[in-house]
Amino acid sequence: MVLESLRAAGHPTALEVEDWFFARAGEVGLPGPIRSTGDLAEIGAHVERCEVCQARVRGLEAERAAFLEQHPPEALLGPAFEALERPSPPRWGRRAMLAAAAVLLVGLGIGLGRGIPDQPDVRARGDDADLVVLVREGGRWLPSAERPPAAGDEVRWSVRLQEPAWPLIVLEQSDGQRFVAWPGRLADQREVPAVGPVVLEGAAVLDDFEGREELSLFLADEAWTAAVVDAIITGADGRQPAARTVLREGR
Amino acid sequence: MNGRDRLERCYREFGFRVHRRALGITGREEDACDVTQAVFIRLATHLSTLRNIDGVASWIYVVTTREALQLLRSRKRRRQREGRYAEAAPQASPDPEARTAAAQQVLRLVTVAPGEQLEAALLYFVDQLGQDEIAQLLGVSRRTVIRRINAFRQTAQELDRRGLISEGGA
Repeated sequence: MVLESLRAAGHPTALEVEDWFFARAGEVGLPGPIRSTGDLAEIGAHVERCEVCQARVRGLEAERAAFLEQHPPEALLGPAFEALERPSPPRWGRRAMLAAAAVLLVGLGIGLGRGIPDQPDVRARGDDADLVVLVREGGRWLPSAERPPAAGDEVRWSVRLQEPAWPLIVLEQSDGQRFVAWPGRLADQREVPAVGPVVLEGAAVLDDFEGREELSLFLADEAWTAAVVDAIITGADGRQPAARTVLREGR
Repeated sequence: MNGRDRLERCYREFGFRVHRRALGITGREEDACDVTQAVFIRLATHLSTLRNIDGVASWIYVVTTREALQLLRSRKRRRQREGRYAEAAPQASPDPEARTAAAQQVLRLVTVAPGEQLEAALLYFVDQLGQDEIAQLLGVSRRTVIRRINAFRQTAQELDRRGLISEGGA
């Protein structure tokens, strides 16, 4: 088959030579993303004695210099510099904020056991979905507005949907990192019916992250695939959540 | 070193690689520049959490691959949708020099194969990484990698057999 024949032996692959080149040329002097130091040494030894691969490396050097000349940082980094100066991750723009205003917010606003006295118990209802965080206390699961979550707390998620859907809950930290809060594994996901509040299976224990944390509830008509979930986590997928709430305000 | 300096340093360090990777997937210079910009916007929002420069390199590599595939898939699907209702406007073709034969083979399935299969296939057939290396890079198990590659292989075989995909599908 054509695909199989592409994995030919012989010289190091283009990526291997690139890895070695970038590790060698890198200002920081650390290995590239994929190869171990031992692998890089082996590739380097091959390049040292192989004229074909030396030519490939010279080509990379020339291309890199041409790239930086043709695309200096100020040419391509303008939007990135702007993103750097924005206080919040750029994907949550004006539209997201407007959408977020239309969904249920369970205002918790207390982190790490430190109360914020003027934090209101915010409750707003969205058209499609509600999301409530439940916190375990003394064997009972309480709505988080009554028992704000803190580090070490066990929490569960309760959703109420207008239409049957497959939920996905994503936790976003103020440092821009995102994690899937539910389901724990894609194999555990399920369609949630449009009946009263449904408590999703499984619980999570909150860590001691000190920044702000927000939860977004996404809904789909069919089961979530790993690719779509990855795209949401990495920000490559720009879909809007059906509900969004603050889990912890942080310091 | 402030964030701006760090970002610029990352660009000087990795910008060429991002652009080169993006060009290898999209086949177009302007698309490669768009992907490069998108990757560094993403990096700007994650910069404070990526302390280890080695980690930055891995992260950038995966994000570049995904951004480039996403761009290709979106464009191809948009073109398919538009084609249903109107005479398609002439489209610029990818520069065949910018893609390897291997990349062209895999990217024929850009709108057919699920994203995770396409990503694994690119890393395996084009970048020629080992299954363990792919698993480490994507943060999934080796078994998952094998499953995705096998599924991609079956899809390619099936579509080849039925003659449903054409060369340069992206």
